[in-house]
Amino acid sequence: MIEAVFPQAKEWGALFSSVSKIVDEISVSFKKEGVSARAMDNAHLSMVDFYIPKNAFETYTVIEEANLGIKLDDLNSVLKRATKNDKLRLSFDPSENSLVLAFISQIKREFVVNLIELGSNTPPMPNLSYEVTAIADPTALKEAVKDVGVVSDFATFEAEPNALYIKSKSSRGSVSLEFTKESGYLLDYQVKSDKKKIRASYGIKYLEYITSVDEAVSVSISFSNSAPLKLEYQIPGDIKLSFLLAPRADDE
Amino acid sequence: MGEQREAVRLFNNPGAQECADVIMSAASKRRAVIVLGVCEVSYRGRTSSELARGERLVIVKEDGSLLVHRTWGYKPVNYMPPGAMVYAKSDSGSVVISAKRGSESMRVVFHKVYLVATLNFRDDSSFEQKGTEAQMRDAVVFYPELVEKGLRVLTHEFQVKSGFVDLMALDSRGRLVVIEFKANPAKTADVNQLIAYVSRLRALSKERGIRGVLAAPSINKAARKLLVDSGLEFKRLDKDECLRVLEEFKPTMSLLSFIEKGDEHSA
Repeated sequence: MIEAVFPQAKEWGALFSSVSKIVDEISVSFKKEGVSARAMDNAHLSMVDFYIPKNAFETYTVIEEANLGIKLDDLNSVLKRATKNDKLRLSFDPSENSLVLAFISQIKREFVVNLIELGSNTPPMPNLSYEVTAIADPTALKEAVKDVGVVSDFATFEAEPNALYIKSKSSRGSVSLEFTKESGYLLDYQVKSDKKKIRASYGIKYLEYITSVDEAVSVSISFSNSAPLKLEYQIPGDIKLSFLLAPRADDE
Repeated sequence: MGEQREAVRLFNNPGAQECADVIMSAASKRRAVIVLGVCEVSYRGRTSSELARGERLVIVKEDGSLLVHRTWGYKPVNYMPPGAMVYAKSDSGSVVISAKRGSESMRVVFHKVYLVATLNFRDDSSFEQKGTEAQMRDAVVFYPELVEKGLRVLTHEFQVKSGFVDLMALDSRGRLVVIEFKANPAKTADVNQLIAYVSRLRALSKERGIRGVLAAPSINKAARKLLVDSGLEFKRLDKDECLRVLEEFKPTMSLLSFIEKGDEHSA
């Protein structure tokens, strides 16, 4: 049995809307210490991983841990109905194959989402360490990806000692965006390498998917030469949402 | 060892007579010639046109086709199709190239020739056509939304009695979708092929809800009518969009390789 109340229903909406950009279904694990899920898209190009600790909830009771198979279209249709001050109450009774979501404000609105059978195989997280880590404004990153999409199908992330660049070029033209701490767009910037340049490229479509995260306050951008890109979003309510994206193989 | 082949012979600023001789000699040996210079062009045949004096590139190909290019645009400003008889002569200091094929004729008068080159090229490689059915199918495997939102690919090249189904998928309502790809405008024969696949699968599964989708750049009227009458669907699939999707996805490494390699990618 699971009973939990989260203070801001809209933040759950933002979370699952972002998750649904890369997967259609996900197995969400309700454990004593919190709620988590990890899934890889069908093409194995990207991975999503999130965690909401128990103390982010107003109340959180998990008597028996459970993995709930959720069809994201069904869940998101319900979460879209959340309004600004709604709390979200989640209930699951193992005897029922459904998750009950209630929006609580002046009135209580209750929805029942039917669950689906999903294997409980969670993909392992690649064991990577990164040469570059930048903390950035999520909106600036999202807009940068949109800018690159105007001219090319991929974006190259390039780190120099004092600036992070997102660049691309194609037969249509070229684009280069500079992020520095001085500009205010980078809250922090660490390059742990003696190499002159650290560079990796990623497909623009998936970059668009994994940067369309609403409600995040900051994003940590990590990469190394020709290695996956890791984006870790900090969403209010102590929600941690991260994405991994495989690099293009043709990078230098 | 045989005599070394001379792939390109260049003649800079040739006189009119020399240029005409070079062109005639190449034409008799069925070799391609390019001529750069100042010319005017008149054409009679498919239509009638006059192109006044200007600096241009003229190509006479081994098969007798003749193309007049300006320095912009990918298409020739005028052309003669393959099989034309090409003749060149010097006339009052100009070079006149004439090409004739049936009722079509073209006359190119070069007032000044900067360069003429004869080409003795070898090129036996086959042309790999972009936007083949397999590429369209692969693009949909990578990005099923090309056909419709919520589509999930099950398998491709699934064998049924009458052949191989290009792609089998499930739609957002869980119905089986049989997709047949055509790189060219779909014809009634293509619709009949899809009908055969869908009928066979419906008979095998006793499931009437199986959908059939013909995915192609376009469809002719008769084929569309047959498709609609048969309760099947058409999906316009743009070949360029499919190639763009392949370009986007194919060069990307799989995350699985990083999971398997683990720390090898650490800094």
